[in-house]
Amino acid sequence: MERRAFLAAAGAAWLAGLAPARAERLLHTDLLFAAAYRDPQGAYGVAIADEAGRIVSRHLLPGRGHGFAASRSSSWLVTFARRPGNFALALDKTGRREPVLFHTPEGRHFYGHGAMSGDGRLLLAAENDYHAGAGVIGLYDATNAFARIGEFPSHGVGPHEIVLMPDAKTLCVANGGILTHPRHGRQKLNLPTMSPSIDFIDTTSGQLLSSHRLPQDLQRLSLRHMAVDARRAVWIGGQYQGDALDTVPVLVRLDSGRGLEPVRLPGNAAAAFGPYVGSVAANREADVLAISSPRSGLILRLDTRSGALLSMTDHAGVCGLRDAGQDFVASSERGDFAGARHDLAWDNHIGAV
Amino acid sequence: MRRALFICLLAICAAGGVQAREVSPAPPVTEVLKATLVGYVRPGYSGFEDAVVALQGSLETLCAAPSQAGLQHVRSRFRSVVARWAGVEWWRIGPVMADNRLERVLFFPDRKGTGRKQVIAALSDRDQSVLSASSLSGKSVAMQGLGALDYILFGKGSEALTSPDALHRCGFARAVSANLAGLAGEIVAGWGEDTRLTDLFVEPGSENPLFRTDREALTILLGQMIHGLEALRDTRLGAFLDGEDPARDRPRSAPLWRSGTSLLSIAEGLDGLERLFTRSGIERVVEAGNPKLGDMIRFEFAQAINTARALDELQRPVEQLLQEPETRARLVYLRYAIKTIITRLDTEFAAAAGLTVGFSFGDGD
Repeated sequence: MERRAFLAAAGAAWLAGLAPARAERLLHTDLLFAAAYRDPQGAYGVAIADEAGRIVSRHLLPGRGHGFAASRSSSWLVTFARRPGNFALALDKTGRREPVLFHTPEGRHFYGHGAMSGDGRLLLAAENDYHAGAGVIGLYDATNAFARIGEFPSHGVGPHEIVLMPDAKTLCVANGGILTHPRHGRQKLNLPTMSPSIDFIDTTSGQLLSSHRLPQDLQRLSLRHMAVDARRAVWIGGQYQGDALDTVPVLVRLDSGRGLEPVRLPGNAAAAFGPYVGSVAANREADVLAISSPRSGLILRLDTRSGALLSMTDHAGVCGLRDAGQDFVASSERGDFAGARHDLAWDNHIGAV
Repeated sequence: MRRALFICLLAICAAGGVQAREVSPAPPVTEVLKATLVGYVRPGYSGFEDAVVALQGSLETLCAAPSQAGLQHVRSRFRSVVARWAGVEWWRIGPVMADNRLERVLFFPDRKGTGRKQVIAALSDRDQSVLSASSLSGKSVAMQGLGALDYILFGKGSEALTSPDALHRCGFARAVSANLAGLAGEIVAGWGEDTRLTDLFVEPGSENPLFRTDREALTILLGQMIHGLEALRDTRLGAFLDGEDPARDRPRSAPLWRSGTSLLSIAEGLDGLERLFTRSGIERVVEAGNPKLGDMIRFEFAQAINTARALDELQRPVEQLLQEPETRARLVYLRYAIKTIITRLDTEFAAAAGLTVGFSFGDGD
């Protein structure tokens, strides 16, 4: 990572508008993160913070934000509206260009997650074609004010988190399987027939490369969030939509050639954590995976090589997770961010700027 | 060695970087949960079961000796079933969440009209497999519950139920009601004394799959009310009342419109959520700081319930309620009144209970 190099550029531009103490702080920062929030007055925004949770800048959003798209090859950081919102805000990391607010076309809304293409020229966004009840990946031109230039099928219903694989060409899509329609708010319309899948798509052609499903008895485990480890295995966190008394795996792993496999957590950890993952993050340098649950207020860390549980940490209201150094930063709906505390309710994810 | 050191570092990070466990909300949530079980969950499902059994009885009579009076009796029993179900429909814990029971009782919205098409096909084909609850229960969820009865008892051709020509149709209705009775019985049994579910329900604990902490229990309980209100506004009222443009209203998308129970189910849904709020005694957790808050919320519930009831009592088709500016304005007010309760619970009540204000209620998305 060339974060210092980026910061030298980002810093110079951002710093112009910052108070001296903040400017000083930013120049000595290795890592920057983005997270959406709601303030005590009910206004929504996205904040940029350093690895100690100190806020560098805040930008208002027209509604509640959720996930992010950013890459080293692009100077844009894109924040998506939480579903069923239809806006996204692109901030220029170098501060040279004005922010760009853009929207989905009629008949589509964002699901809150996206990814930049390998060359940084395209933004890919998980979207709902709600007339058809089908997931699509919307394509936006990052070199032209994020004009929407096309779309391809997500090959499932309710695509949620999408990540670009390390080959910089293949998109991994978590099709959560849950049908929603903006006319019905956030209501889940198809639980008896939902069929979540993990799909690999060639971003250059939109072609489906492979599709992976859970066995029928896990049909109500919505596959929503994921991270890719150093060996390119995908770890996917589920959100179970069935009876709370069922015992189901909350984490599954997808290794090339082996299909989806449940990850066994020690019984007490599985019971304490519950069948609901809010965020998944991988620390490729440390070979550690972390998952969070805002419901049980727990973070689990696992060794990505052995699958062994490393730790279980109490953290009330936690959801946001992102790798930082040898560990992770976390945020909660109650205001804490990487050890600092703010009078803000943080949304569910942290993006790396 | 490096590994051991690393795990050790993680442990230190974990200890230093994270706040201590929350103090439990006082007084004990266990009392609130017990009151919820005894005062809301059990009577709610028993009432539904009783109404279904009564409907079954009236259908036996009708199918044995079809008559106008018999059909009227069945239809009135159906209204009671709709009302009783609406009162517990938004409770999303326990046996309703298994075996698709929730959707088998009422699958709504059925955006593509799947259930209607399947019911019409079964009627016109005189499909014998819809005449027993056991074979019906294996079919599409959309054709084995209240949506099916709405069509069979009130839809096109239902007047024939007054004559012996409609034996198949009557038998289909009887099978649906028997299926509903089976579902109601399973749900009631699941919440019975000494079941694992009820033991877990009243005792939050670190390995309790329902609630790991008192705080989680309180969050989920309040979440039932907020999500129920949102669903009533978005999927029930919102099914036929357009947000902006009366020209885009959709009377034929109203829940159970053939039986004229759309507003009844909304009124009873609101009433059920008010009952959950009041009978659970959840306001006890905020009383010390805000003794009037519970009464304020009940007042706001009453505004919404009275509005929905008054519209239901007009006994007009949804289409007409939407067409007349005066009644449409009352529907718009109803939507606003529901929103007011949501906001009150989501902000003031949540804050007073020490929960996160207006945010996720555990819905990480």
